[in-house]
Amino acid sequence: MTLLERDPLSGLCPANRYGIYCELRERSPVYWSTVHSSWVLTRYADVSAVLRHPNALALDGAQFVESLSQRGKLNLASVAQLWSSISFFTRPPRHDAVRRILAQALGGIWRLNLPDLLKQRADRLLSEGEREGSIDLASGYGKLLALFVIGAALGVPEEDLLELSGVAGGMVSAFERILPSLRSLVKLDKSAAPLLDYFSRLIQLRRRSGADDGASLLVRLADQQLGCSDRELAGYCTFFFVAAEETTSAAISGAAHLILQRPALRAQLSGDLSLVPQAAREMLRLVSPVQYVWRQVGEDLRLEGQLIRAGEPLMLVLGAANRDPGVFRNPNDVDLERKGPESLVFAAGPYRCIGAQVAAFEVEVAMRALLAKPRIQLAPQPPVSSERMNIAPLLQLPAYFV
Amino acid sequence: MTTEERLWEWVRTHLAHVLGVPPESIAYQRALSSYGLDSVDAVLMAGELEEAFGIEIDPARFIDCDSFEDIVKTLAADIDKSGPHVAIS
Repeated sequence: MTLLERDPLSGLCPANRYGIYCELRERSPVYWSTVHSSWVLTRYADVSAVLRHPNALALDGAQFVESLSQRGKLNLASVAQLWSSISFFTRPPRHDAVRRILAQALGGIWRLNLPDLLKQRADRLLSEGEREGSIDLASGYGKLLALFVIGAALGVPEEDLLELSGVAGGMVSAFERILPSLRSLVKLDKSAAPLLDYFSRLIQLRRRSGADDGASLLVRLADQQLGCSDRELAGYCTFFFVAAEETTSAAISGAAHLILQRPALRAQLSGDLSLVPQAAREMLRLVSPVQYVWRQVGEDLRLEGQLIRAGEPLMLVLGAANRDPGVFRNPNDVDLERKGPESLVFAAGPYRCIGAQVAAFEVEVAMRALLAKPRIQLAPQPPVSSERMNIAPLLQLPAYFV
Repeated sequence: MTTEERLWEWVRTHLAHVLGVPPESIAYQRALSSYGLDSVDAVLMAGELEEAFGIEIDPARFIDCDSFEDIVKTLAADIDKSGPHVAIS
């Protein structure tokens, strides 16, 4: 443990994070952050070891909100409902059940002919931009593609997507800090309520007349084998929506930014599209849409000589681990020849992201479509990023056609 | 009363109520955890303190400080710095 004068994470933002991570990795790879009330881990080996530790557990967010509601006599019913549907806020045995439901529901997405649908949508958005001469690759591409997929997966009518996105927008702020403030929880409850209501209505609708979509599939799964209420199902849908939108949007627009900044890479990929999957893996590693996650370990642990007591919270900085030069040589480069361990962009171990495969696929499709537009260039205006610390997608990435 | 005294008075009264003990038994030099209180209590107290004093408080600060004195002094300095718009009644 180092006694740092000022917590290096106190001023963390997307603009300065990699410098801060680099210093932490080198000098204080395991330190107690007063800002986050957690141990902060930044080296790949430590982060990976904790993620895969057989006794590592996610924070019990659902239990926390329940205790808060009871002791504070507060009505946080919507947050409580949503939290108990979030796979990375639950613990075994409930975690296993929630994960199984979500994985099955998400697996159904591949029945939708997603590859073609997504490709068509990506081409259409870029062609519209081409006609107009410009496109915002964050708000008008990454975000819209992410919404399109999650909307198609859940069976949300397209005309409702932007409005739902407006309600859900900012909900990921709840993952910024280990302890949310009461004010932010009350705000979150106000956003969660209409989303839960919306998805409850959608599920009722699908119960009356099924369709070939995620909501119908969830209803069938629930009836046949899961034994959960429609309100619970609405919780899963809401979680999917919130979790998928901003992270995938960050991944796609982040990848677009990286490609357009690297003309040689762009030329190489355009010349050989079989390199796209490896490029997408590199983009995901560099963007790391979720910068950090928390865990607790059920037993004492020694990392980098530091004793960590059972139950003490650990903040695992995936974004730092993914640029650890000890594992990824020249970590800030897009290296299409890179071998070695998988990045931790989707975390690892029992809480690995359920949507990893879908998200990686979305990035690949979005990249291929972009590579097919040789006239597109970044505009001189700099991109605008969210100021959040954790899930902070680009909000604007202006581009134009030469 | 100084800002620090007002804050400490509020914190002590609040904790005494939560714990069901007389306010005098809450010591300035001790920490939240030493009274058996946890992160749920910290979030609730920070939330009410925000309302009462019109400030923003990260609940984690209550968990991480070594004594109430530490956090009350820091918060008082923040409030005094931010000027007269802060409502302290």
